[in-house]
Amino acid sequence: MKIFNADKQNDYKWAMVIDLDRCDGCGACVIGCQTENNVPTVGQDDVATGRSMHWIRIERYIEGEYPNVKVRFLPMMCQHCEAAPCESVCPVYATYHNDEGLNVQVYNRCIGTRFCGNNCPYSVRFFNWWDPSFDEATRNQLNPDVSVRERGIMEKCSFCMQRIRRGKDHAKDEGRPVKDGDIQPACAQTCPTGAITFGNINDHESKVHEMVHGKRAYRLFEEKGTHPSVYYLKGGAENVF
Amino acid sequence: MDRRSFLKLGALTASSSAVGACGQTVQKVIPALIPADDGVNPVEGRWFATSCMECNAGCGVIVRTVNGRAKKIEGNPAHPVNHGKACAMGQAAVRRAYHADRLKAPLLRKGGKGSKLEEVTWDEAIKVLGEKISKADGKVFYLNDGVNDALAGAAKSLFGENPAFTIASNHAPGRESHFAAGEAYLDFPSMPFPDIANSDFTLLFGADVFESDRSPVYFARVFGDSRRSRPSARGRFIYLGSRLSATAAACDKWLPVPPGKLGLVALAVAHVVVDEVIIRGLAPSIPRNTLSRWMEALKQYSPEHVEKETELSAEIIKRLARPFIEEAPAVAVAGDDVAGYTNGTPTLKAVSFLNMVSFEIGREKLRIKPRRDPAPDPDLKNRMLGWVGLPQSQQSFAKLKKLTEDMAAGAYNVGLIAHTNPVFDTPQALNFKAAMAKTPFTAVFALFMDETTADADLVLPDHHWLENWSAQIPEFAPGVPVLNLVQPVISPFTAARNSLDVIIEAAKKGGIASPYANGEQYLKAFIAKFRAEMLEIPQQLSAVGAWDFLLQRGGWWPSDEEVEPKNPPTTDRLWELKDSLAAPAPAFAEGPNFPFHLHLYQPVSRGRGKGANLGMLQEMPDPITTLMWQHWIELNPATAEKLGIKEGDLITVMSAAGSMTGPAFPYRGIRPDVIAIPIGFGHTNYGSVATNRGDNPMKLLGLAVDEKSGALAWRSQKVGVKKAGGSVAMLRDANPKGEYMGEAFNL
Amino acid sequence: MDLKKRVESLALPLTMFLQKRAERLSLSLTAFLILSVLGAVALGHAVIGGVFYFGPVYLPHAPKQPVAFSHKLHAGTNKIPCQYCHSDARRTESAGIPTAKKCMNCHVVVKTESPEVVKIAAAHDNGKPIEWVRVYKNPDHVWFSHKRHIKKGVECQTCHGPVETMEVVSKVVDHQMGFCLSCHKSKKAPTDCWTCHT
Repeated sequence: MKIFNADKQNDYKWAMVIDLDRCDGCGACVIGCQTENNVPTVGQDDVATGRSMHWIRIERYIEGEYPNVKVRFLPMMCQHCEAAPCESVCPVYATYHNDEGLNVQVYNRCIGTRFCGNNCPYSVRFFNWWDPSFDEATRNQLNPDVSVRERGIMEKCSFCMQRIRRGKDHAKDEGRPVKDGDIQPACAQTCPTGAITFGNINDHESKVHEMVHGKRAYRLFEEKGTHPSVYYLKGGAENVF
Repeated sequence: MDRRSFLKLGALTASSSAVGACGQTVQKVIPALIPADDGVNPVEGRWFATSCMECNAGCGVIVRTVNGRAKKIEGNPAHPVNHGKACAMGQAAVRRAYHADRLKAPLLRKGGKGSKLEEVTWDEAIKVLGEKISKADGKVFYLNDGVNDALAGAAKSLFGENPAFTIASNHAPGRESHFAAGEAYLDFPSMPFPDIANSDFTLLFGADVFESDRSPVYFARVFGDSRRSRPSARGRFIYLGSRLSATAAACDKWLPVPPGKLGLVALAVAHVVVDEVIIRGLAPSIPRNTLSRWMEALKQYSPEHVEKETELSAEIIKRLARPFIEEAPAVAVAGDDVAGYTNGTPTLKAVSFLNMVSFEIGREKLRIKPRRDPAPDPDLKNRMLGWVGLPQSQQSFAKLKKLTEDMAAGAYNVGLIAHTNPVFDTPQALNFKAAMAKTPFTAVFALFMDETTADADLVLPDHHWLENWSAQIPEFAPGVPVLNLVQPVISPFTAARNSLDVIIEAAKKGGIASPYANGEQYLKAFIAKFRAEMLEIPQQLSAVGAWDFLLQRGGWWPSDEEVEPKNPPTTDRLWELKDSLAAPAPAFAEGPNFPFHLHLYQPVSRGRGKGANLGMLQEMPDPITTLMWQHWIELNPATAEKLGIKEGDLITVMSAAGSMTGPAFPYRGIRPDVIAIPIGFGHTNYGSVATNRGDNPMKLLGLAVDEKSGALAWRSQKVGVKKAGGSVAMLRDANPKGEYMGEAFNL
Repeated sequence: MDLKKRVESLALPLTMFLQKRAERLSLSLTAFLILSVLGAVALGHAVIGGVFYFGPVYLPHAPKQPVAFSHKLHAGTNKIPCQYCHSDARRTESAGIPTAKKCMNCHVVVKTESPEVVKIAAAHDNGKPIEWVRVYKNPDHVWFSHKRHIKKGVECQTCHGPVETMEVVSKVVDHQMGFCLSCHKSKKAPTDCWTCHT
């Protein structure tokens, strides 16, 4: 197993920056992700038992009492931690960290112990309690680049690795490194407010590199030492009104 | 209609079927297609430009197709409405195209009213429709959902010559109030699209711009741009209204205001602004005597005067006005919580007035970029709407109401209803269902069986817009002529037929001569007319070349440079404005036991019930309540406590018009005198996913209208609430380990 | 939720584990359980281990095709390059099947009276696809790009065997993961899991 090593430098290290000041909670990313990654709907019964499945979800927080109420949104997906708590507990090495900073889930290796899901502080790993519910008509829409997960395995946000792979593939054809903006996961591509930015943090010219070093950047549960690859930009401002 | 012949496929299995990760399945038949110019199996897929027809916002989209199957819808980066972005409902549209409930064949009531709908062939369906049209004596009506598409244009050009013909739209309520206000300020009946992207301060008067179908993607984009795209400042957003909507949630601050009182706030803010303009001479372009006339009209709306009624202190109103004076660009946007009352139009005018003054101040400071509206030729859009869609003057609730009354009186022999569900989503007090029963023959173009389709005499399954040829004029920047083209990107999934072809063919059978043999010819003729008007389309291109150019682009729109800046309002015009500075009191449909205001609203990305048959959208948590698969009734926790109602308790909401039942959801972001209910739930016949999910709040609505514009005043109803007994579990999207812990994150 | 679903959901982790094992062997769960018990008693774990080690055997696999197309004649005798017909192989992930139109490029003049060619011509004319039967198929969880391999100069025959000698195409190479990995290792190609598994 790979042990976290912050000093190791690769050409690519993928990271995502989410500007909470822009997020309006509209859910376009949720549906964008679902259609891109063949994420099934689980149905009302399973939702009732807390088994809803969204690789990216919008967490909603309400603060204050009427009339001083403030609602905040926080899009949450796999944080692709450098020191991921899920990786160390998998008995079959179905989840591991690759050289490009991705936390990879190998579906065909997974046996469904759900240890990783229990150990994830962000609750972003989802277990397939049943075979996916795509009917004959819906299957026409399934993305051929992404496998349809069967019953009994864990799944989670992959940073749209099929798009990363394709972006690298195209760059390789043209004999150049991947340019900033070449690769966009489905959520970033669709986000109407432009809240989500994705890129190579090892490229010092990239947008994400600049944003990560801004004043507003922070990471979730940083104190737990998970070193996430997803950065959030703090929303709000002083004296807005 | 089959220029894109290579899109025709044989029966094939999608390459990514739900084969288990470990299952060694039988080897499948390889997807194989014959018409050869497309080759076989390019996994990366092809991208086609087309236009989303899910709502009237009219986003340009590009669709990824693999093996002739649509896989993903993304925004068209070149399109002026959405700049490459898409909303949830737009992306879920692929699932609407590939939906098991799609209608598969035409259905006809062979034995007339009262008999069952039976499957018939297309030939028979068109023959029957043609016969009915020939005997209709011109007494035909056409009703659509307010999307300005080619079908409406074709219907108008086919039947419009006969004075007995009526065309109307069943659109989201409140649109015509915006048109009426727009007419007063922009010389053109249109939705206002203020320049939020370049503004430091935006004051939203009940403008649920992320929820309504005015264009959630456009507004989300300019919201993001205003907030963080400009290095100079962070755009601030303040929301005024009776409920903290999803739009309000994205704003910096929500200030509750009693229902129907926003006009007073707007005029009080205007009072402060105009006062400062006079004292400090901020806008020399406005003549002094005009200013003093305004001030005279605004005298009774000083912050101190309206303080009590609006429940906002004079201090707060002055603070709201400050950005308009100090740091223009500042804009005001009005929306549903303004247009939904009987005083909607005057209030919208008051908000536009504020914008006008702010614009004059900003122009002086040279900090505002000229806005795009209106374009050099404001009449052009109306002419375009004459060809594709409905002229905006035809789009009103008054027209729909008149149509329904006439139908009930038996004034029409044939009804054509396209892609709209008035039996479900108009106020039940209108009783469209009964009016339909009185019409001898109604034909419905639809994708799915729904409440209206079930009552029709002839059902004509239409293509989804991914399979279809059409054109659309989006609801966008007034006067800016944007034309969206819709082309088939996938082969038809069912044996449906293009409604444009069907209507032309049936009319021909009915003895109505049309210069066009089919829909494609109609579109091409329209493009030719359009080219004659819009010289910017490269003239050196041949007709075929221009057609391909437009298809590849997804339509036509002027680039930013091609749109001339807005002309400043003339002094005459400013002078006249004074007459519209008034805030009449709203009227409410009261009753002795109805202490609460009913606040119906359109939830994010579900339309007015259209999206309810998609499991994907049902399972997308509502941004505010995080509820899934469920209907709910919002009320303030204090109100709930007073009535002894807990979360999930079934409650009945009653109005003078009717009653409905649903689970209660106490929500802090709502005034204690308001009950809010999302619309679009409570289908009784809309496929297995949507049917019997919740109750239809349209039952509660009376027919009160905005006095000035005739728009449905859907927020003017007062209601009572009582416990219905029993409770249900609320399905909230919470962390499996419990509630989300917001305090833990440094938001 | 009905009772059956609930019971199933409680018993899930164990059944899931067993079922996955069963599916690898293409057996029903019951059959697998019986076999496992028998195996443990009579032969011990070696039998199951053996089955796992050798893997299920599917070779050779030569399905009957709707048109008796001879690769031996076209690619062998006439020496038509593979990528003349499978031209998508160098351009995309999928090698693709030639369209009937491509066949008709030559067969409008060559052997037009042959009954097999007549079938193709008919398909071409009436626009109905020929339903070729798949010979090689990767499971859903494998991502494979023909383009990358061809650009690296891997011969078609390395993975598909001597197709130019086959009258009827037959699956002669078993594409188990070991087959891929041995080559990837020897050529220093990436062996990161996500290179092939999505």
